[in-house]
Amino acid sequence: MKSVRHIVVLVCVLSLLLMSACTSAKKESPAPASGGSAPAESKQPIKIGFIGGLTGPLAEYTTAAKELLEWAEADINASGGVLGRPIDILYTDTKVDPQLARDAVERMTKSDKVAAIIGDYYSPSTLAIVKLMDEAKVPLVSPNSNATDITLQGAKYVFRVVHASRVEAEAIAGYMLDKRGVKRIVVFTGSDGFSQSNATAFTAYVKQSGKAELVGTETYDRANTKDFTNLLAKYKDKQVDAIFLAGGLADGALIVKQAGDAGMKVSFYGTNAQARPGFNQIGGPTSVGTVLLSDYPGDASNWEQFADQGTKDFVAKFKAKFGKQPTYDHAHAYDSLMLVINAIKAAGSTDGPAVRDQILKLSPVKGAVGDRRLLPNGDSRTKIYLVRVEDGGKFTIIDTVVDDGK
Amino acid sequence: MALQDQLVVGLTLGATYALIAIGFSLVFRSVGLLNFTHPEFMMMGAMVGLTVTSRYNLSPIFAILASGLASGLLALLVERTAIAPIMKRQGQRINQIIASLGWATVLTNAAMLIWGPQPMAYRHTFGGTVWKIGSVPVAAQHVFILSSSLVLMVALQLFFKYTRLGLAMRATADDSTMALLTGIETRHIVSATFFLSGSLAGMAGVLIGSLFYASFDLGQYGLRALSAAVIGGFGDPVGAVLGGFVLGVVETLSGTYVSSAYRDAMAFAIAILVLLVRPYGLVGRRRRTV
Amino acid sequence: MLKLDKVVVGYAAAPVLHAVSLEINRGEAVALIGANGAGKTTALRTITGLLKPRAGRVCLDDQDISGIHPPKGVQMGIAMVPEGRRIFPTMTVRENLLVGAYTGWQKRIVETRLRRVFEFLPRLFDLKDRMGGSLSGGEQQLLALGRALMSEPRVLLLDEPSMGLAPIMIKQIFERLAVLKQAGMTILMVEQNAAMALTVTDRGYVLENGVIVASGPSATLLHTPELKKAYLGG
Repeated sequence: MKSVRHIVVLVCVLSLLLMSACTSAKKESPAPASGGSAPAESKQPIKIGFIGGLTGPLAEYTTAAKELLEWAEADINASGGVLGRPIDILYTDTKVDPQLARDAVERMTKSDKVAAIIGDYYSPSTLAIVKLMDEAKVPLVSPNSNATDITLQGAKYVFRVVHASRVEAEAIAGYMLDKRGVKRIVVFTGSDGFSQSNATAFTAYVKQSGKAELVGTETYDRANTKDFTNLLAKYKDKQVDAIFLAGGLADGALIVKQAGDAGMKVSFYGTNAQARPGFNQIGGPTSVGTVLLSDYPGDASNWEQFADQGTKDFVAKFKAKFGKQPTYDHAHAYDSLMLVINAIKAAGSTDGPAVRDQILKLSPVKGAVGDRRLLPNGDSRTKIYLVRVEDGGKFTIIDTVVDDGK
Repeated sequence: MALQDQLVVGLTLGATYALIAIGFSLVFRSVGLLNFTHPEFMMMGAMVGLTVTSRYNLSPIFAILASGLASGLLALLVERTAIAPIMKRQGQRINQIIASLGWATVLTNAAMLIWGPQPMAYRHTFGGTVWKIGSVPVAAQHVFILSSSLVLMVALQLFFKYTRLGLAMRATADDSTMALLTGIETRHIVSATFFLSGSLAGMAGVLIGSLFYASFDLGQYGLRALSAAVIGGFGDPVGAVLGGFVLGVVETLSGTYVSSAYRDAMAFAIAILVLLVRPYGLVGRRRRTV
Repeated sequence: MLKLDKVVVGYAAAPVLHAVSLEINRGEAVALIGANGAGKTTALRTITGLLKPRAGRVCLDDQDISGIHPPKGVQMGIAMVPEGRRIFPTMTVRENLLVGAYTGWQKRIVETRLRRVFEFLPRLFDLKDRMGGSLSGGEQQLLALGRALMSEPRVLLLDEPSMGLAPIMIKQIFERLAVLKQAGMTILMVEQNAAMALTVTDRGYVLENGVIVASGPSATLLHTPELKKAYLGG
């Protein structure tokens, strides 16, 4: 009996080790190019790093990214690679841990000698590595981190293919005030960094415009609060037009659901954080009609009406390969990789400073997300779509925010 | 929203906390262990309940029973692999606590692998139906949760009072060495206690999941129920129930009358305050250490 | 019927019992007396199986029960009335008694036994719905005795039954024990109150620092000069 127990424990421990090993960095040594008889086989591969939470709460997004990148890598290598060399993408799971991100960057820049890094997906992690990228003189392209501060550090090697959260917050605020004539707003925000940056930018914009009144701001702990009924109750009789959701998906959805349950007649607005099917799934019928943001039109049912040609081309290629519509994360991962690839090609080498300069020179880009302008501080500008939450977790684009160049 | 409306919400939440706290308290009484895997039994219950109601389209009551069974078995597994072996070799209590923390991580990761990292809501079985009790509007869902919880608590009391196993569990919790000397197989009783505690947590998980959503990180939310066990007085299931309700009500009311940002710290603030006045909790008493 | 054969119990470097041998015959009442720390409670715990002897054997009817799993011992007919009573404080008197019958659980049998115990210890019937923790010391002692009797034991072990009780209670308890003995119960009693113990028992053993230093008929021991001085108060 005792030995059986020992075996069970051993098996459990081994399988846990195996699971964690499978999700951390593999391919520490150069891999041969995949695909046909590519002439790239004989040369040393160009290594590109990928860091992101492959396990944990962001796994869904990074899994899509990885799926895209593996396809892109195979595709690129089959057509001769870059500068006659195959590319080799190295993946590291940084969970939602800035320290893991720092360790990964150290390793990738110093021992693996990558030409560039794509990541991180978690803003605190991206913030933690900004200085490291400049020290190593290796370009970084983040597909997902929108903390406003990331591009305010004066870094020269950090780029991203999403908007700073300040831009998003102002975009939705502008829409609410100018296009919907909202007059009395309540902000529901988490106490974490992401929520606070949304809330601060939103509140500042509204106050400055003078077009609407901020009736109140409710702050809660995102991880621990699931019941918002008494916070909502405060506003039931206050004639509030709109609630702005500065926090995340799950908490935002619960706020909407519980507001509906309490019989409140109010419209809901949020950011890109809530633009996933889970919002309607958890928020229920009340969530239909909520207006959110996205820079990628492909998740909406009426995307073809609004999409740029670059997006249409990307969708066609992706569908031909995978038989399904590419998601937000597929598109952003693609654009991140292509910035790096095309910059290397233009530079004619993998030299950090040269590649970095070429990334900026690539602008404007016809990307998978849309037509993109790169700003000198590493930020991106694309069209921002206002999307409406529909039943069944779907979205429709109802308007577009024009890039005003700020 | 009037006071009575908030009271209903507070009691509903409190009922779920109570169910979680009872199990935690039971294990502590029987084995003297602070079982930190406990909130994950609740989380697993929520996940199983999600699959039962959403994937297989079965009724919520079925979900409660299925989760009760699943989490009970999980608790049994934890007891057999992490707790009993350490106890047998007269290992230190701290090792059991660490083992329970280890299991908590395993369960969280397993849930994430099996169900994915995104939170998911149950099928909205009650469709937002609202009834009126007098002038107080009460959501049908809240009524369901409250009544299910009360049924479970009553059933538990009957079990403890009128069944042989229930009697044996109480005796073992009071004085396990003496229980051994009266012929009770305390090893089996400990296993049964773990099963029962996990079961209750799992059922609470379905109720919580149906109210909010199911997610692999729900255990963190369940951690506050442990402070309910402390408030009520460790060791007495009645205390755990009381602590649960007190926690739920105060937490809900304080959100309105105290700044919302501090509301979630209330759980622990209350626990500390109560312990300052009554060190053994509201109904706890000094217990002999066996 | 119950025999300890050169039993050594305790740590290797510091045993508590040094090759202790004693014997209780069927229907006998035997006292084990000695000062605090002499090892009396250890002896009882060894008999119940809570402790396993390092050397020597514990035998019941010539069957080796050394280090037996205590519930098994209960099934074989050994019942313990422990030091400090150890009744279950959150359970009622009635429930405490029911637990005593745990091993023989069949509704009719249990109810019959319960009735008999109430007849034998009528005070318990009056207290039947009272919480164990709310009883006085003497009442708890009656309860502990009743609980042990619920398993219909063949051997009754008592650890310091007179401890902390008022004289009138002690008298009551011992009177009941005498009745039990009369009815044929085999009794092993550990007591600090040597005088009391020797008056109700047939034989006695004197334990000093884990060694039996004297044994014999209780009446003899009661009048032995050395013992009188040491244990019987001159």
